[in-house]
Amino acid sequence: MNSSPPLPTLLVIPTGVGCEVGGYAGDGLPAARLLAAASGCLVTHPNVLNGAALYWSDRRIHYVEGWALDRFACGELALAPVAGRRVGLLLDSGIEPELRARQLQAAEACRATLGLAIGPVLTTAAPLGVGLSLGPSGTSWGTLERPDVLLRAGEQLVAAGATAIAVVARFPDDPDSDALAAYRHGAGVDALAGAEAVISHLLVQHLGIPCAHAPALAPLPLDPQLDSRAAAEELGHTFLPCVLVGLSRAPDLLAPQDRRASLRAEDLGAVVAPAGALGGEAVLASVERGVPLIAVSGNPCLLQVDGAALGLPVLPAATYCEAAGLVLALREGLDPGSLTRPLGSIARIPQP
Amino acid sequence: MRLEPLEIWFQPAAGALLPQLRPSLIAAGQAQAGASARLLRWAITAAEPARGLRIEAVLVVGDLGAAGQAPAFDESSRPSVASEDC
Repeated sequence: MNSSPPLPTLLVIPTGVGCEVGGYAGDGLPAARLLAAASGCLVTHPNVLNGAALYWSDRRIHYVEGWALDRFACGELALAPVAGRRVGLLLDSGIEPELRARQLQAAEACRATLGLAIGPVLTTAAPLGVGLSLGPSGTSWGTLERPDVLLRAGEQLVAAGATAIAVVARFPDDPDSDALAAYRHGAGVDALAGAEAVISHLLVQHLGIPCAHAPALAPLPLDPQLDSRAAAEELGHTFLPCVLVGLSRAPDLLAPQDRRASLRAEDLGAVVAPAGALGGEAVLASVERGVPLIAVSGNPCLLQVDGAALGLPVLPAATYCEAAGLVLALREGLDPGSLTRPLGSIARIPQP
Repeated sequence: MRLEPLEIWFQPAAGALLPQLRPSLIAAGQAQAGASARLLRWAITAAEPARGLRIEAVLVVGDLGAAGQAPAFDESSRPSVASEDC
């Protein structure tokens, strides 16, 4: 047990950029658990934690959707832990009956087995029409034909008492694509992740409550060469349980001046991100606030937007184990520079 | 209401990046898609000495507008928990 006060830490592993750690099916979760133990308080986003049927619930980890995470880091939202919340289930009417029944059974199971408060369920008035794309950098993104239908359904769930929303949209099947094969073999970008982020960002921006997404997809044929990092998505029929668990304790999203808030951007003591993916809003806002940035070189991705390219000061870490050590050092009030050799001299202000 | 991708190259001046990037992105988004365009997500995805920073973004264009056909609660197959709560 660490007797030092928690050091609220932000963990960012950008979605859809092919991160070696966290770019697959919840395979950032071990790193998140380690950083939560080191810091005593970790704020991170769903795709770090979501492993389809696999999840880990830890009171020290705050599950904050990506758009809200950016607003939190920018000081425009604050967080307040909750005992629990009622998760409404928003189903895309484009989901076929059998696949839809699987989603509903997953929700029933989370209620029966985990005791989560789930409901009501709402089906959209029209199919959402999810489309997948790649940006110029090769990162995934996506679009919706009917964002208006998504937002109207979200409004109705809130009016019916939901305090969080799990949304399941029908994603295009492409079982024979090279991109999917590469992803399943541990060498590609999660093609779904960008569109998932768009869906959850739209809802959170519009409704101001925690929301997260699980795709509905037809089952894939068995692949004996499946990479272990992608395996969590092939254990069952839905990706929904991790989302329901995460949302069930996701913190309230409040105005920074709200007295109920207990975690604000100015409380952050560290931010941890892949060394080549430092160009997101949460990381930039944190650094510009003076929060130490721990850049993990052992988590390469498609991007090469590092501290040198952006002129940002970083604490380099080869692995998430090393990053956790740096977080622990900061939590204990140690100068990380005192732990490496050669030991540099103390900075001096030159006389005018 | 629709979603639209945006890509810009931006040569930053010295100093903090965010206060420079946000206004530039919003201006570029509105130039591309009209005054109703707003940022949904963005990130710097490349940095080159000659061209500066490449930013890829997703815009939301247009308003939600008045409520149209309302989605209907599904009475037939929702989890039993929901029947207690609607």
